[in-house]
Order: sequence, then structure tokens, then C-alpha cells
Amino acid sequence: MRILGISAFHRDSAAALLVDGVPVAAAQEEHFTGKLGEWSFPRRAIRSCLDEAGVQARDLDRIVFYEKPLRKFERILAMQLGAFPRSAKTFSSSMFLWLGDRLWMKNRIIEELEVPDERISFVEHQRAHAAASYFTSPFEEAAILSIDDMGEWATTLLARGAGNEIESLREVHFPHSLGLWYSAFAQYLGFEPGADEGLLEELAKQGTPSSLDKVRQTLSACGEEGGFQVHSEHFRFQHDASRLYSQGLIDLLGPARAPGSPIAEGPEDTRCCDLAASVQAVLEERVLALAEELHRHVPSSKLCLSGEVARNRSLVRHLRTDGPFEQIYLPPSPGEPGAALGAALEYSCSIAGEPRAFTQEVAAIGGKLAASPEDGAVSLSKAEIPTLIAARLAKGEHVAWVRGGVELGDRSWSARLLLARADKEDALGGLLETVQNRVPCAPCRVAVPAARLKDHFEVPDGVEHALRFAHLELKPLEGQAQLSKLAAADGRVWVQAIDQRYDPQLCQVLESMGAEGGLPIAAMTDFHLRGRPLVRSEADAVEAFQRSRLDALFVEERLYERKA
Amino acid sequence: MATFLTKLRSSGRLKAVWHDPDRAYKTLCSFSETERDGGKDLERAARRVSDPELRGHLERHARDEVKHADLFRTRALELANEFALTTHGDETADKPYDLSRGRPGLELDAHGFFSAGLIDELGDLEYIAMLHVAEERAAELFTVQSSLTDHDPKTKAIFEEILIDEKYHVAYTKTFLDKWRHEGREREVSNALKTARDSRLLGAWKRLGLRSAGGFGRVLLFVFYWTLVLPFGFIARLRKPATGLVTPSVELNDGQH
Repeated sequence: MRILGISAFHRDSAAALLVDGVPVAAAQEEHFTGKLGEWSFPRRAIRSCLDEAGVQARDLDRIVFYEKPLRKFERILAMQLGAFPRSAKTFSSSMFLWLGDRLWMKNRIIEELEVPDERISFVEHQRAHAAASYFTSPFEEAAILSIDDMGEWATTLLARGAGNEIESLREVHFPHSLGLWYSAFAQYLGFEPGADEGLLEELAKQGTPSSLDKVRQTLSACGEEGGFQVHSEHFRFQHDASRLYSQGLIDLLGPARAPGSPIAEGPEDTRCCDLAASVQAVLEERVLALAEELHRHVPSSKLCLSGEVARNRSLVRHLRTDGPFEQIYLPPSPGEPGAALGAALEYSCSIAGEPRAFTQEVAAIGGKLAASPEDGAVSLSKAEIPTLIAARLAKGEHVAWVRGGVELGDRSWSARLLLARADKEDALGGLLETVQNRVPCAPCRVAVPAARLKDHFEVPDGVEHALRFAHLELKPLEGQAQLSKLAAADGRVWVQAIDQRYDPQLCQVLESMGAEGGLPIAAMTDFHLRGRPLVRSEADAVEAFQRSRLDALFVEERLYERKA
Repeated sequence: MATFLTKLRSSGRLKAVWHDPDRAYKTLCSFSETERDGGKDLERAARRVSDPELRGHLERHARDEVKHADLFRTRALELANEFALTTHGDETADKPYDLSRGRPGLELDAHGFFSAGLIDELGDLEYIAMLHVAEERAAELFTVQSSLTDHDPKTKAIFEEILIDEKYHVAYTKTFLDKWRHEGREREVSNALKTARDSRLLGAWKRLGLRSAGGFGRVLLFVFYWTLVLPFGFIARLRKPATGLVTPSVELNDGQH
């Protein structure tokens, strides 16, 4: 059975193709258009998936969209009416968009793919997220928690996964959304909502949660244990997606930080850091309460986490250390792009009743590099590449490494990497600066062989899956002075465990660095220029390399060096 | 024709954009994005063409586009800070200048027809013809912008600086088209220019149609809001949305609802 999953029209549109329950291709539209956060119909991504599998659109058995448009329209209409007359400005634009385009998603898919309408299905948005996590996990049973910004009505889903089935247990409905609540604070603090929530998380590490009482006035517990409500007087996202917070929040917390203004060390920045720390702490309180409630319904030791909020690494750490679950799994892309795969898996397992046939061990799904040698390429043998990279890193160079198809999401775990020596002064900042100009607070991670992790970091049990896809931060062991330099303000380092079974080449690079007396650890981030998506093709990679200050670029079995 | 279009575009509607910081901000962001996209395509084109002289021009052109993108972006951020504007992710241009996306999927940008990797789809001659027509139009467009920003010397200075570059872009593309004409490719050049101009006009026509329909639809919905929706609005305000944890009510299905 060939099932195509599609996500679109919110952010990060993507497509994923399943053949007999196994994902064979997945692609994200922004990698083709070059526009970060591309949300339009993913026709290039679909074409790429179909080409890779050698399948025509007419051969697809099912096309599955990752939300139910009629139910979402019902929610939008209800919210617009409920906000009357404040919604006067937004009503006509949102209704125009929906009545003119979004509501007719089935027709759009028919028009784009030329398939009969009986082959088109729709699944619930939060269930697509849940499926992206549970059906790619190694667990036969687990509790499932999807915490997102929006979908149809549900913004949060508590569910049980058992064998081939996901059973929805409880939901939280719009406008009570942890994702939008967090995004509203990101916007209040001058970041771009829907894109820069990670910067709010980083800012939080530099502050102390001194405004907890005020922040709790915007989000409080209610009803059944674990339930919460967002207090609407402080927000506008119920009816207006362009400005998420209202005058009520300014009255409560003071003036908002000017967008894009630099973060320096002054009293105003201290206030912002403390507020960010308070927001992060209240988020963690609410999610821990949800996890406790979920555990009462599903007394499993395993948790599958998904949704946009699951990208928050501090939250994942608290869930593991302070929550009731002993093992946590997150898919590589727990947000919107991963939901395209989730939609296909949800249809395959929950609706069509196909058996589960997949565990996600590596982040990339299928995908070949669009490779053609550019000017200045030097051919190499595959075997010598890890040694060459290690030697360059040992010399203090910044190296880009491009292999295979690009992963879904805005991070790369192995296919589009930038590497530097971790024991260099300001290793992480220096690496970011080569490609992106430095963004204040922008995080950078380190790659460590999974087998060596406990030699350098305090590693809680049950996080091996989360560490494989870099969803956690760890504290260096006592005496690891070099690693402490890589830590954020909270003393933790963002870590990706590199498993010998799944990425032997990168493991070899790290082990070679260790063998020469250095740390078997590399500073690592994703290969893209600032404001751009991950590079996709060899041409993209060479172009980004030329516009960067990187020293060398390895693309499959070719090397590009910076000309003097 | 160009004079008529220039006059038409200099209407009060467009002037208003530059007098409203929020609309000006959005438009500058959109221009920045467009220039950056153009730069990316030109860099790729520079690597693909075989003529070293043309490659040199395209490389300079690509650098110009990136410089323009930075100039627009910097000015946009200055405006955002100066007027404490709320920025958000989807910085679409203000409507009068929304030349790029009448509807997502048209794949036409503010110059009219760049798309990532265009050189891979066209040959050198067709690409340069497309570029020439686009740059002619850009030069015309930025002349209009410059005339509308007398009250804002910083923004005007940016347009003036960009105009100098645009004139160079028009000139070097014309030189190459002339060169190909003299090499006996007159017909190919004419056809390529015609295709470029037709695709631009077709795109403009589509955008005009979409925008007219959009404007009418929005007005209708606005009237609808204050008449038919009004009573439902009051009723809806009485209904409180569900709070806390709720039990999912809809059975699993694969329909749209």
C-alpha cells in the first residue's frame, strides 16, 4: 500500500511516502524553494518523494492530509465570532483565505496530483503528531503526549499507544494552547513567533524565575488534574495570528521588548531574561502536571512526546528527571514537518489496520543527494574522508559535511553538518559565526560517540533515544573543564550521541580526534546560512560554502577548499 | 506605456504605503527577500554559464542583489525599532506592492519571474533575456519608489543607490543580447524577449485578477460581518470555550470533519 502524507499551510510544509508501512522518502518544501518556514502546498517535496520511489501520483493508494479542514474552519469561525467586535479587522481576511482556498483542500489535492477524490483522507492534527512519535518509536506500548500550538480544536493530546493502535484519552482545546502561549511570550520578548521559540528557551537559562506569580496569572491549572487554561485577557491569538499578545499582557508585565533589538547586558535585559526563565518554569510546571495525569491513565514507563512544544530541550530534561516516565522517545522532527510522516502512519496503522513495520533509527528517510560536481571539486575515496575531516578539525578548521538526503525539520543529525574542534576557545560561537553571523543566544551542540557519553557527562537513564536525535542537554562530569566552556548559562551542554551502528563515519571522525590526544567530541551545528533552510543539493552546499567563512566542504566523496 | 504605468503607480495609494511605517516595513522586508532570492539564483547562474565575461557580470550582479537585500533589511529593522513595530514571521509586502504572491504557488517574485534554479531550466540566452526584462522593470519600479520617498531621505537614498546598480544590470544584459544578435541569433533573442515579456504580463494579469477578486471578497465579508454576523457574534460571546482536559468526542474517521 502506497500512502502519501502531506503537511501544509501552517508552517514547514512537507511530504512523506510510505510503502507497505515503511517510509521510503520524505522531503520538506523549504529545501526546494529556499524560503525558511515555507508553508505553501509542498508540490516539489511531493514530486521529490514520488521520483525517489519511482511512483506516479496515480499509483498512490491514499493521500493523507495532516488535519481536518472542516473542523479547523469551525474552530476559526467560532473564535472569530467569539471575539466580536474585536475581530472586525481579521474576520474578512481569515474568512477570505478559508472560503477561497483552505476549505477546499480536497479539491486542491485533486488538482495538484490528479487523483480521484475517494483516495484522499484527512486525519486529526494532534493524532498525526502522536503517530509521528509512537509509530516511529521502538516501543510496543507507551503513553503519548502531543503538545502543540494549534490544529483543529485540540492543542494538546493525551493518548495511549498499544501495538497497532493509538487511543485518544484527553484533549485540551483551543484557545488553551501551551504552544501559542509560549509563542506569545517569544513575540513579547522581541523574537519571531513560530520560529524563534528556541531563543526564548536559551534566554531563560540566563535568568532567574522571579516573575512566576505574574506569569501564572496568564496560565493556570483548572478542572481535572493536569488541565490548564490560558487567560484570554492577556492574548489575541484567539482571533489574530499576527500579534499574539494583547495590551493586557503589557499592563501586567510592562512594555514589550522591541523586535530585533540586540540583547546586551543591562537592566532591561535582566528583566527579559528573568521573565523568560519564569515563562519556561511555568511551562514546565504545566507539562509535568499533564505528564502526571497521563501516567495515571497510562501507567507505562515509556513516553512518546511530540508537537512543536516538544522541541523544548529543557522541558524534555525536566520531564525525564522530575516526571513519572523512565524512558522518553521523541522523533527527529516532532513538529510540523514530521506530522506529514505522522499523517501517513496514522492512516496506515490506525485506519487501514496495517501492521507497524518501522522504527526510526536514523533521521533521514530515504533521499539521495542531488549531486553534480562543481568547479574546484577534488575527488576522494569514501574510506579516507573521516580521517581527512578529523585532521582538519585537529588543525582548528571549520568543516562542512554533506551526505545523502536532507532530513525533515530545521536540524540535521548527520546529513548536513558543520563541525569544529570542541576544545577550541569559543568553539560553538566561532562555528556559528562562520556561516550565520552570530545570533545572541543561538545554541550549538556537541557530537559525542554514544559509547563515550558517560565518560564525560551525567547521563540519566532512559534517554538514549532522545540523545540520538539531540533532544537533551547534559551536565558535564566534575573535572571536565574543557566541556564546561561549552555549557550554556545553566551549566549544561546540548549533546547529540553518535551511535556507531547508525553513523560509523562520524564516529570514526570523533574517535580519530580522541586518538590524537584531543577530546573525542566535536562542536556541531546544521549547515545553512542565516535565514536560510538547510542546504539540499551539492550546488546549494557549494554556494553556501562560498558565502561562508568555512575552511572546507566535503560533499559525499568530493572536497572543496577555500581558495587563498 | 511606461510613462503611463509610472504615473498610474505614483497614485496616492502607493504614496500612502511609504507614509505608514508598518506598511513600509513590510514592503521593505518583501523587497529584501526578493533581492536575496534573485542573488541566490544569479550565483547559481554564474557557476553554470560558460562565457567567462558573462560569468563575471553575473557574479557582480549577484553581489549587488545581496547588497540590496541587506540595505532593505537594515532599513526595515531601523523602521521597526524607530516606530516600535510588531514584526512577525510572514512578512508579506503591503498590497499595492504585493507583486510576488497574489496567491502562493504562482512562483513569481517582485521582479516578475525569478525562481530558485531558473538557470537550470533555461539556457544562457533565455536566462539573460528574462533577466534583461526583469531588470528593466526593476529599474522602472525603483524609480517610482524613489520619487515617493522624498519625505524619508534614508529610504530614498537606498533606492537611489540601487537604481545605479539596476542601470548597470540593464546595460550588461543588453550588451550580451546585442552580441548574440550579431552572431546570427536574432530570432532566438527576439523570441526569448517576447516570452519573457509575455510571462511577465500574464503574471501581472493573474495577480490583478486575484487582487481584484480578493478586494471585492474582503469588502463583502466586511459588510457581512457588521450585518449578518453581528447577532451570531453576540450569541457566540455567551458560549465559553471548553477549559481543562476534555474527553475526545469525535470517533476516528478519515473524513474532513
